[in-house]
Amino acid sequence: MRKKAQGGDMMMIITFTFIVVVMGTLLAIGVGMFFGSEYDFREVDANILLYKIEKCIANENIDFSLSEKEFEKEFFEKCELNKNSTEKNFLVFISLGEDDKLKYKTGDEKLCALSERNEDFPLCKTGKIVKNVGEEQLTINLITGSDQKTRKKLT
Amino acid sequence: MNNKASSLVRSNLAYLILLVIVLLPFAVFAGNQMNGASIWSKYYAKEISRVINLAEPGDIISLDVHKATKIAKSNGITRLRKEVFTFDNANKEVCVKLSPGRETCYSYFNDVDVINEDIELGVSKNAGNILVFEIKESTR
Repeated sequence: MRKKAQGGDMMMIITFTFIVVVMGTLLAIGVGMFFGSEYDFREVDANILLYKIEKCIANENIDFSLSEKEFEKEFFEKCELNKNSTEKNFLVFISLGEDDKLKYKTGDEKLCALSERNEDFPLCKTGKIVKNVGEEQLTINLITGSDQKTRKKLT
Repeated sequence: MNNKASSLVRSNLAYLILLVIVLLPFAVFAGNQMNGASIWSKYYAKEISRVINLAEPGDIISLDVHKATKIAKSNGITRLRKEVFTFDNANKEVCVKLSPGRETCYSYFNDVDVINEDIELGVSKNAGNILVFEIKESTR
């Protein structure tokens, strides 16, 4: 009689394990969400990128009459920005009046509007430079943004 | 009486062992998170990338990384000078490793290379450990 009762008692171990695993998982998710949240750096990145591009366009003699491809090459050379890294992690949008000169990260500034609601979208900064080239006055519009997140690598 | 008590312990022993086995990994995970390795590695990776983005070739940069080295050491990383901060000049990223087996990386856009990185240990009583590195023009 006793042995039979013990057998039934041991069946409870499945329920017990299930409850413990569920509780442990929820605890781990809670701790992970609290301590593992991203330290938001998008605004800092966007500001520094805008500062560097503004400084570069103001000081360097970049030819805005070049075709998009040639302009891109000259821009990255003179502004000392790494093309691969910028292309992958940052948003850069340069236009001369209505004429788009450089678009990176789809160059779609509409994405920026969603940045406050969702951290996956790039947080953007805008700037404008008025530059005299000969007798001509150029108005250059800039948008920079970042949606970069830290990457975990196994070592 | 004694017999009753011992049979009670015996019948619940399986539950206790199971509880310990299941909860131990979760406790280790929570402990790792709470010593700050995850959040501090993100902090250092991002702040160092900010410094690199604003740097110019020829700059020599010194940063107080005492907190990071303290966390790394408490997590069992022994080669502090080689393992904690690494710079990948090809991919333009800085990686910070504060716990064994994983590192946190963040990219910078400034087209420069980071060379001669080293951690100067115990520089002074106030400053602690200092990360020093040099910025030079990118070798394309």
